[in-house]
Amino acid sequence: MASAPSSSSGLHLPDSARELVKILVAGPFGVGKTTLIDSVSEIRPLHTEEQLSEASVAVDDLAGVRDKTTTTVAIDFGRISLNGGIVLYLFGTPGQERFRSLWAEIAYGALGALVLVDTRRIDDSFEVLGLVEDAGLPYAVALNTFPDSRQYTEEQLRTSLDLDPGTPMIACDARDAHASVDALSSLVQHLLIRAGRGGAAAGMRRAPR
Amino acid sequence: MTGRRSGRPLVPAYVSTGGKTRPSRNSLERLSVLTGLTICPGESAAGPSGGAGPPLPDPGAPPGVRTEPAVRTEPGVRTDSGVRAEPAVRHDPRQPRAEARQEVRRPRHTPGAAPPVPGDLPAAQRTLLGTLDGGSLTVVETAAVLALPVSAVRVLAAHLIDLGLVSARPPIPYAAQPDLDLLERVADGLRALKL
Repeated sequence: MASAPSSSSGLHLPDSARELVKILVAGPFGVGKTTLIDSVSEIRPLHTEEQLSEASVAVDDLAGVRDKTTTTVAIDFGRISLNGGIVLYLFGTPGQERFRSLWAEIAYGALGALVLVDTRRIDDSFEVLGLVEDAGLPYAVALNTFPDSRQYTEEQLRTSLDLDPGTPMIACDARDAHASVDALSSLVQHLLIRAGRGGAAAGMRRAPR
Repeated sequence: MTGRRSGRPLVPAYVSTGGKTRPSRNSLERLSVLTGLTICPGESAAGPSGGAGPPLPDPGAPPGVRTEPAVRTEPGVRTDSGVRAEPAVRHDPRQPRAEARQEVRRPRHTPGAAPPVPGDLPAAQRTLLGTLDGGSLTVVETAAVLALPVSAVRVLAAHLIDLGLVSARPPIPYAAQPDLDLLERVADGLRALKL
């Protein structure tokens, strides 16, 4: 508790903040969720320690994590102040089935999810996609590219991840702020299209700004 | 269903709590915005800086000079700096205090509207109130700053809300629930970021 305020420089919300929205950044451990959040967040990513429920503990035990006595998980988050009093929060959300109990609460009110995928271990992302779809969240897939990533065609990846044709899939270096913002933009455009308004049309109309 | 050995029947929650309900607790989301309505007196004693570590220097003070005693009785002063450099807010004997506080402190709230902080306010609540000294924070940010679970901050904040010391508002005004227009403005905002 004691050290917190010294790192809270600029933490308090701007007076202009009117609407606070959130987007989940979901993915398996080590895929780069916090890296992405860090690259775009105006505050240094913060985290909360979340308690897992009893049900989750049982699943934990079944998974064979015998020596795991703590049942907390850290949720990292960051924020971006946008024009017009909108503050966008990004919640890094782990993609394990045993965190399902957390999902409902964290996903509540979220606009959508950006699912980060590491193409070196695509299998790890299946659980996340399942959780996102079960939560009813619209999502876009961002392929966090690593130097030793194998090259797949988009078709191969889409088939492998079993993506809906309309689901955006973009390459994204999570360390790069521009790439990360681009990925978030793709997601929001997708949300707009889903909500019934053509994202491209909206973009063109507002292009002269 | 009333299988209690004592024979006392189960009572509805609203009776067992003396009719006092706490609607504020359930409505606090992660992104609900908490705003302090009052200034916590004696925050330095129980506040975030009261634990480990020396108080940070006053941003408005000459370097190397500690202007504030470790324990203060004046309300409205804080030992944690860096959140906002607003030296006029701090109580300085050389300044007209009431003016400074009314003008700078809480422009959105009428000073004096909030009840005084009870002397027996638990330290945890006091600390939370101190965290909101300087601006609004979301529930989840408050939890991160205080290194507490979100659920704990909900309970502490609800207590403060019940006492009228803190206000909370939902992340998005109820009148403007997430809709197309909001999505468009988020998209526009992200686009503007890239420029």
